[in-house]
Order: sequence, then structure tokens, then C-alpha cells
Amino acid sequence: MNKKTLRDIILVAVIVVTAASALAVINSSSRPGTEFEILVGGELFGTYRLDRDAVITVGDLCVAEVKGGEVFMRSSTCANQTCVHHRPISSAGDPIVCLPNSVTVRIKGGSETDYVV
Amino acid sequence: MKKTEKIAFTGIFTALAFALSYIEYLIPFDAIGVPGVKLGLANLAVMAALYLFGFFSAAAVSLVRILLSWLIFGNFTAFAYSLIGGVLSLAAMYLLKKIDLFGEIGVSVSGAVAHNAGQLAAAWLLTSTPGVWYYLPVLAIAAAVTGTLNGLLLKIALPRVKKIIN
Repeated sequence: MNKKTLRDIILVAVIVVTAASALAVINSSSRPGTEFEILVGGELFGTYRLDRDAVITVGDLCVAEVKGGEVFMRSSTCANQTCVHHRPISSAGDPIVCLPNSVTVRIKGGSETDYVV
Repeated sequence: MKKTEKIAFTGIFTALAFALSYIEYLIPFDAIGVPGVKLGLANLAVMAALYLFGFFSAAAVSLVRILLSWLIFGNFTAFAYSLIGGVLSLAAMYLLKKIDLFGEIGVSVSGAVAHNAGQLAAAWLLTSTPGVWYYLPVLAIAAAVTGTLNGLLLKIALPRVKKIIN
């Protein structure tokens, strides 16, 4: 094995180990949220509770649903539907971002309060 | 290699990059539930251009592909994200190749990670949601896997392509 390939392997290993550690820190420090907010184009659209099942229609852009303490995007008018395929979220700081429609669903109590790297 | 040959090959590699983006589009990774995970096949053409014809050719392949996608699919938001990701990825790959310490795999993986970081930066700026950075660890692990695969493919393909174009 030549030196470059060896360095490649080290580089990949460093990236994976760093990312895995960051992931472990995020998961261990994450706690369930109680409220979430929906932003449209960076502006607050509304704040909602996670413990009450609900269906929220965001203008003509998308529909978010709260079910069993989790929130997910039920439907969206965007082209790529990435937000609809996103896993349901429930931990503080977790986001679902719909880039084409510029809609963000975010669990409150995340990075701005207690998350320090 | 003559300048005209270089320009012609750059055009061919741009077409290849565009075709690879289309193949990429046919393989969805939605099931993972984290946006932004993809194979990055188009980067194969960019890297091949970087190794065979140098920085300017690679930049042309990458930027023209992104511009073409915008003109054909007409999605400005997607264009903005691709552009920021593409520029950062190109810069990272050029630097890593320039310092000459890493092989194709290292260059490929660094390009993939830089691309993801660029897209998250764009998402952060456009939606003012710092929470998008939570995706970085997952995306970096995915980039390590797809980048390694692409690097291996490039390593196999480069000597053969070299034989054809010379």
C-alpha cells in the first residue's frame, strides 16, 4: 500500500470518528421538546405544542401534523418533497427544513439555549 | 495536449457530469430521512477533469453543469445551493490535490464533505435556521462512504481514460 492510500484511509477514519463523536454528543444532550415553531422565510408563523395531536396548514405551502409527541410534514406543494420524506422529529433543536418553500419546523429549546460544542 | 483538445474534452466531461446528475436523480435516498444524502456521481466527472486537465477545466465542468441544471429545471433555490456546494467542493479538492499528500479517495471524500458543508451553510443563511448544522455529522459519515466509493471508481477509471485520450 502506498503512502497516499494510507493517508486517505487515515483521513476517512478521522472524518468518520469525528462525525460519530459529534453525533453521540448531540444524541446524549438531546432531550424531548415540548413546543415547536414554524417559520416561513425566516419569520415566525406560529408556535405549537407537541403533546397535543394537531394538523397545521401553513398557508398554501404545506401541512404539518403532530402525532404522539412527534411532528412531521404531512404534505407539501414543493417539487422535491424532501420535507415530506423527513423522519418525524421530537428532540429539542431538531429541524425539518423545506428549502423550496422556505418553511422550517423547529423543536424549541435547541441550540440557542443549552447546546455548546 | 493542445488547447483545443482540452476544451473539447472539457465539453465532453460536462455532458458526462450532466448525464450522471440525471442518473443520480433516478436513485432516491429519501428513506434515510435526512436530506442531502446522495451518491455525488457528477463529482466523478469533475474529479476526472481535475486530474486530467487541471483546475480550470474542472471548474468549467462543475459550474456549467450547475448552470445547465438551472436553465433546464429552472429551480433558482436549488441552483443557489448547488453553486455554493460546488464552489466549496471544488476548492477543497483542488487544495488537497495541490498539496499532493492524498490520493483520489482523500480528494473525493474532502470534496463530498465540503459540498455538504456548503449546502448546509446555504440552508443556514437562506432559512436562518442554525439547527440545520445538526445534519452535518450524518452527512459527513455519508460523504465518507460515497466519497470513498467515488474515489475508488476514479482510481480504476483514470488510467483507462488516460489511455483513450492520449
